Parts: sequence; structure tokens; C-alpha cells
Amino acid sequence: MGRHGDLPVRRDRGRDWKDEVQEELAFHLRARTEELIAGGLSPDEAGRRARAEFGDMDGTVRYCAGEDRRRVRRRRLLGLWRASLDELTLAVRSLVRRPRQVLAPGAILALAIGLNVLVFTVVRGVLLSPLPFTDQERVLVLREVAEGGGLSLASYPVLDAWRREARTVEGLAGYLENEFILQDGPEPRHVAGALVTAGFFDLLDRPLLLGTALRPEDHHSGAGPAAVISEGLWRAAFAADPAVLDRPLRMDGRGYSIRGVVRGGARLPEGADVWLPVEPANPDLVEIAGAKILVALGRLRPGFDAADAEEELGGIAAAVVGGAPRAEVTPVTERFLGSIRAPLLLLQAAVLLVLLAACANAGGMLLARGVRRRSELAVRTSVGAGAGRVAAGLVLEGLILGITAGVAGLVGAAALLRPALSLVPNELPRAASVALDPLVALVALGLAVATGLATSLGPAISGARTAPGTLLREGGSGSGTAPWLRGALEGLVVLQVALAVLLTAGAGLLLRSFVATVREDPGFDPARVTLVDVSLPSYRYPDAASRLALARDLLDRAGTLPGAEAVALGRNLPVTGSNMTSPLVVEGSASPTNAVQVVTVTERYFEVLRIPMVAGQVMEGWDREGSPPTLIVDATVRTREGGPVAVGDRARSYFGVRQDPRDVVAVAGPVRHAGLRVAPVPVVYEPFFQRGDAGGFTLLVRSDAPPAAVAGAAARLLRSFELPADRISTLSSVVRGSVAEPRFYTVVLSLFGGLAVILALAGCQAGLAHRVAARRREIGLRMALGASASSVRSMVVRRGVGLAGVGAALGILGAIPGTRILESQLYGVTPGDPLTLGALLVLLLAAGGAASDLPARRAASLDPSVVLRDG
Amino acid sequence: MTDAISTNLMRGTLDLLVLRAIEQGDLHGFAVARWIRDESGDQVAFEDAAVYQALHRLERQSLVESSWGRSENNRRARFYRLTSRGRGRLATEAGEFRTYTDVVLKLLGSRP
Repeated sequence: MGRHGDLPVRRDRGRDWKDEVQEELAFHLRARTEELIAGGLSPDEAGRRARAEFGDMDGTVRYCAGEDRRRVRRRRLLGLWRASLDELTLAVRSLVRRPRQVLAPGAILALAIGLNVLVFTVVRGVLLSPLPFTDQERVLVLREVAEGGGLSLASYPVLDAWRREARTVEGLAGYLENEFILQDGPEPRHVAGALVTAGFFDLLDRPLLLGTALRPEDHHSGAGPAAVISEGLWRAAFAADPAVLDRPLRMDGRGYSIRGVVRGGARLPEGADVWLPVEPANPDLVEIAGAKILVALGRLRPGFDAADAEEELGGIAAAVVGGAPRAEVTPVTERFLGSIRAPLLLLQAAVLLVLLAACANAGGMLLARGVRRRSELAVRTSVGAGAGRVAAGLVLEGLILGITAGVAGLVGAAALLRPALSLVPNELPRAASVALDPLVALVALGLAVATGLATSLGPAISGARTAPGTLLREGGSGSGTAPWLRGALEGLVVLQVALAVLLTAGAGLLLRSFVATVREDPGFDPARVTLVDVSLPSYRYPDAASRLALARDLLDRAGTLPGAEAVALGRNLPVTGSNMTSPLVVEGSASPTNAVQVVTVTERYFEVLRIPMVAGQVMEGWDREGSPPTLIVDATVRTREGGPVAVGDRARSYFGVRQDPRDVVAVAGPVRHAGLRVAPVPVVYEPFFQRGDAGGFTLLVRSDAPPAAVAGAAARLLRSFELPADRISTLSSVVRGSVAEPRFYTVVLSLFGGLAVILALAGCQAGLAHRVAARRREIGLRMALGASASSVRSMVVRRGVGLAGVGAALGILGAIPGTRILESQLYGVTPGDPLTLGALLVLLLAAGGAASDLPARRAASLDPSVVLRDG
Repeated sequence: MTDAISTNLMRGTLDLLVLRAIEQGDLHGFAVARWIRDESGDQVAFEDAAVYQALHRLERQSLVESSWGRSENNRRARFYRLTSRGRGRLATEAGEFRTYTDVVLKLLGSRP
């Protein structure tokens, strides 16, 4: 028996199985008939007898043919299986036999697959896993649109009217993010949460782990304190006590009845630990249609579309006193994931390009090495393995390599997932739902298989094309590479350079955007400013008088903090993400301005932040309760007609309580309130102590003492008032944090780009080295005929620079449209920016030259006499 | 194997006899049928159809293998021979069958 067993001839094609059985039985009948004739029967009688003795002829033919068919089919499968096993052993053996040649491409593939798995895991966790809503596709965020188009959220009275009257949207509910002061430990601390309307938990998909949602009666303005808490808080503060529903939640000086515990995956808003009914918690809000601060959600009824909902909701809102004239609806995914989608998909695209570059690199290596194995392959072909079989073997090797790399990449990604996530700026929503799961593993396997196929394609074609005769004659020296093969190798080099350019173009644009961002003048000086968030629990400071007295006391004592040069109190600070706006009514102007930021400050605020005065000045005692009410505007505030607002004008905001018109006493320099990447927006400064609602504010300290010392002293100061002291930071870190996300994407894309450049350089060098090796004879001949070493050298370098140039040109051609997907991430630079691309072209040409240096020197050091003698 | 005999005594017996016949060397189906008929002194009469079914069944089980050759009077005939697996099976089954019949005979001969 042969090695693979006797592979049966395929008999079921063309010839029927029954024919063979019939032939066998015919022989039997004939032999038996002859025997009976010899025994004295007549031929007719003998034939009849033989047939009768035989029994069921047709049934036997069917039965035997069936057995034969089954037998052959099974053996064929068995043979195929054995042959594959042999092929597999051969492939594994061949890979293991040359570890050095396989390790480098394997490692590169593993790295690239690992990076892909990592990025895909994050993309899947954040973008592809559903939000905690039931019927997520139908859930909309509903907003009021103010006169003039300014978008705001929704007010309680309007949401209430929508809930009663809307027919296009059902299941309406709203929430308002809020912070509470938790008193479960030795020291009070902040806890994030939300005030919610009735029906809020019905929007979510099975949110409760324990207990119930808030009850209808909890939503009456006079209801007793009731709360729902998060799984995290339940574990941290109640040690996961199953009897938690019988225990009170000590918060804001009251004991809340705990109605239920929300499972970790259903937290809305993200990071919330406590949910309270909005009606008893903030009775004023229920009445004020001007307070458009609720995130209103609802489910689109089947049969209606977004336009229907906008029309109907707008009409209902307009009929409410103080309601906006129009409404806008956005899919909930847009609101919660809209800002993260583009950068994440960008990362995914980038990392796929890295994988492509890795495939090109590994494929080039395997191809070049395949050339050296040609003698082995030629032997295999000449002993009867068909070209297809040799190619299949090579593809199998590639697959094994790819899958091994894939497994290594997956394991690496699994190990690095958590550390990698901790590098992601904390703006990443739903980081908790990021995990490796079967789908991710499946994707990794798919990538591995694709990678294996891609890298083995070249070697397989090359192997199958190997004509045994010529190679064995050549003695398998590997010289005389076919031109098409050289072309393929150089094509891979060009591809790698092009991919490197594409990636570095993206990285370069992000880098320039980042530099442009941090170079922007925020309009204030964040250095050496410590921010201390102060929350005054309403149970201890029930009225404006007590809150303002505390604020005054705190401000006075803050002056003694280490190194304090200037201290101030403020609300709605720049770059913190805080956003409190109101239109401004300017006397003499026909209609109010668009919304301006209303920042409430004490008089030395401008000194602490070093915001210059453009006109007028802040008088001593400007912020006091008894002083005449005045305003400070900044230089970007414009009337509806477009004119500047100047010192001496009179204006009032709608913010909080209704005001009488006030004198504008000074004009401050513009400030980038909404972040470094957003041009200064109009800001109005109102005197702190003339506003009664100072429930939460920030103490600002400009000090030349070390920030840690200031923070420590500030914490002690807050504790002396029994206030939570867990929110102390520096303004510089807040500013840095505001650009953490662009910085992260810049760093990651730069790493990818750098990796691609290194791969391209290595690929370029390897490609040239192979070229030099393949053309030894020709180079030797040239040198023998008088070519100088330097001319040989420059010939190779020219080739390298040429390849890099073609690759870079292709990369730039791709980058001009390709970098457009970056558009939303760019600042101060446009996609396809010529300066960036030009710099990359120069860089890659230089890199191509550098990569060709070693092969070039090797070529120049060839000894013509040796080369020509030995071949 | 005991199962096969007990569930289908006839078929099992025939398979055993066919294996025994082929043990002598390459035989075609006609020769197998004739051997069983002659050696049993016409006592055991299987239909020829059953012999051929047994041959193909045994071949599927890799107990015998076949090839086309020339008969004594130079006709194309299908010849069967035992595989090593078939040889092993014949030895065990013959032993089992002997034990089985001995026991049956003993029981039939003993008085209740």
C-alpha cells in the first residue's frame, strides 16, 4: 500500500455501480449454468435452475452496488483526510525546520493582528454593543429649539405637555444629571447621579437587579425621599447586602428609602450611582419652562418618522407658556455615541492598514525566502507532487503561520486589553462593556486566515510556477530570479511605502492639529491655579443667606492658603465643560442676543485667571451684596444688530431670577469658554454675592506653592466646614484633560504610522538585498567591465529611492482623499494639507535612501573575479 | 461480535462461512458458493444472492478485498481475498461461534 492508501479510482462518474455487480453476477450464472449442463440438464433448464438457485437478482444488484458505493466513498474521505494530515505534518515540519525565517514574519503578523483585535474589541464594546435601551433604534432625544435656532434640552413643563399630548412619540421620560453628597463613610463625598421623571426606567432594558423602579407616588412634589442606586454603589457602600431595600441611603442630610438596584450594564447617564425623582428633588424645575435642562427621551411610534415627531412636538412646545417654537429629535445613538464614532472608526481603519502593511512585509519575506527553497520545491515537484499540490502546501504553511500569529495576537490582546484601556482618556463611553468575547475571537480567526492566505499567495504562485527541470539543472542556486518575481517583491515594497505614507499623513495631520490646539490662547492663564469644587448640602445651608455667608467665610479663609496670591469664587468656569447660558437683553437693541455664557464670579476672578480688561475696570466691592447691580461683558458679546456692547450700556440676562437692566461697567478679554478648539464665545460676568443660588461653586486659588500643598490645605479647609473634599484639581490639568482625546488619537495614530514606516524600511531593505543577490553576476560583470564601486552603489540607492518615491507618490494620491475621514478631528489644518504631505514625501525618499544603504554597500563590495568564477 | 451473531444468526453465520471459504486463497463468488454447498454436502443451502451480498458487505467492512481477474476458463471474474483484518475477524468469530454452539448443544442435551 502506498503512503496515502490506495486512492480508489473514481468509478461513480460515467459508469454505474450496478454495471459492475451485474457483470460479476453474470459470470456466476454462466458458470453455474455450464456446471448444470455438464451434470446433464438441457441448456434452457440449466439456465432456469441457476437463476432460481440464485434468488433475488435485482435486490442483490441494488444491495451490492450500494455497499460498493459506500465503501469507495468512505475510503476516498479517509484518503483525503490522510493526505491532508500528511500535508499538514509536512507544512508544520517545514515551518519548524527554519525558525529564523518564519519568526520575523510571524511576529510582525502577530503584532498586527493583536493590534487589530484590540481596536476591534474597543469598537465593538463601545459602538456595536447595544445601549441600555429597549428598542434602541426607536429611542429619540427630544429637544426644544429656541428662537433663532439655538439648541437647548427640554424643560419640564414642555416634556410634560409632550407626554400628555404627543401621538408620534411614546414612553416619554427625562433626566437631569446631578451630584449628591453621600454620607456613608467617615467623610462626605460626591456621588454622581440623575434626577429622573416618572417612566424613566421603562425606557431601559431590564434595568433592575433588585427591587423596583421609583414608584408613581415618589414623583409627587411632596413625596418622601426615595432613590434607586447602582449595582456599583450597592457593592461599595452596602457590601452587596441583599436586604439593602430595608436600609436607608444617607445622602444630603436625609435618609432615602432605596427602591431598587440598577444593574451595571444599564446605567444611564453613564457613571450614575443614584437616581432620584425630579419632582420632590427640584420642585422649581417642574414649573419653569425656561429651564430647558432635561434630557428628554421617547420612543417613536411605529408608522411615524422623525419629521412627523419634530412637527408635532414643536407644535405642542409652542403652545406651552415659555416653550420653544420648534423641536428637534435625534436618534439616541447619535447623542450618546455620535462624537466617539468617527475617531473609533478612524482607529479601526488605521489599524487595518497596519495589518495590510504587515501582510505585505511578511509576504515579501516569505516570497524572498521561497526563492531560496526552490530547489526543495523542485525536488518535490519532480518526484510527482503536482504544481497544485506544492502550491496547496505553501498556502497551508501560510495558514498555519497566520493562525499561529492570530492566536499569539489574540492572547497578547487579551493580556493588554485592560492596561490599554486605562490609557484611553476617560471620555470613552461604555468602557465597561469592552471585553474579549467569542465574536472578537472569531474576528481574530478571520483576520488570521485572511492574513495567512494573503502572505502565502506570492510564495504559492511562485512555487507552482517552479519548473523542476530548469531548477535542478541550475543546482538550485537561487540566482536568476524570474523577472515577475522581482516585480512582485518590489510591488510589495511600493505597497508598504504607500501604506506608511497614508498612515503617517493621518498622524501628521492629527499632530499638527494637536499642536495648533494647544498653541491657542485660551484667553486666561491656567498655570498655578488650583480649582476646589465646593458643594453646599441644602440641609445645612437651606437658604441663600446661609450659603452666601459660607461662601464669604470660605473665600476669606482661602486667602491664607499656602502661597495664595489671589483667590476667587466662580460658577460656570471655562474649559470645564460647564455650560450655563441665557440670552442677553441689551437696552436699545430690538431683540435679545443669542445665548451667552453667564459666569458668576467674585471680583478677583480676573486677577486669578489673568483675564485682561479691555475697557473699564472691576471696582472694589463690585461683587458685594449691597453694591449696585452691574455686569461685565467680554469683548465678543454683540447685540442682535451686531454692534459691540460697551461700558455704559445697560443689559440684563434671563439667568435665574428676573433682573432689572444693569450697567455694563467693564469689558473683559475674550475667553475660549467651550474648549481650546472652539473660538471664544460671548460671556457675561455677574457678581457672585448678588446671586442667591450658590449651592455649588468653585474656589480658585492662584498660588506659587506646589499644587499638592495647596490641594492638601484646601482639603483641610473644606473638612473644617464638614464639606466633601474629593474634587480638587489644577486648572492646567483641566485644560490638559480637555485635549486628552485628540492627544490620545494623535499618539496612537503616530505609533501606527511609525510602525508602518519601520515595516516599509525593513521591506525596502530586504527587497533591495534580494535584488542585489539575484543580480550578482550582472553586477560583477559591470564591475569587471570598469563600473566603479560608487556607481554600483548609487545604482542600488537610486533603485531604493525610486521605489520609495513611487510608493510615496501613490500614498499621497491616496492620502488626499483618504485623510478626509479625519476632517472632524482636525484643527487649524485641512485634509490633504500640502505642507504635511510634502514633508512626508521628502521624509520617505530620505528613508528609502537610508534603507538602500546596506544593500548598496554590499553590492559595491562584490569582488568581480569571485562572482564571475563562482556564479 | 457476539451481538451480531445473536441479532442475526443467519447473516452472521453466512459471513463467517464466506470468510472461511476465502481463507483458502483468491476465490470468485461462484467458487465461494460452490465451496459452501459442496463442503456442507448440500446440507446448508444459502441462496447465491445471499453469498454475493455477504461478499460486498464484507468488502465494505474491509474484511475482504477484491480485484478483477481471469477465471479458470479465462473469463473476467471478480476475485476476493482476506485482508489481515478479515483474517483476524475470522479467527475470533470462529472461536466465538464454537463456544456459542457448544453451549447451545450442551443446553439442548441436558435434561431440565
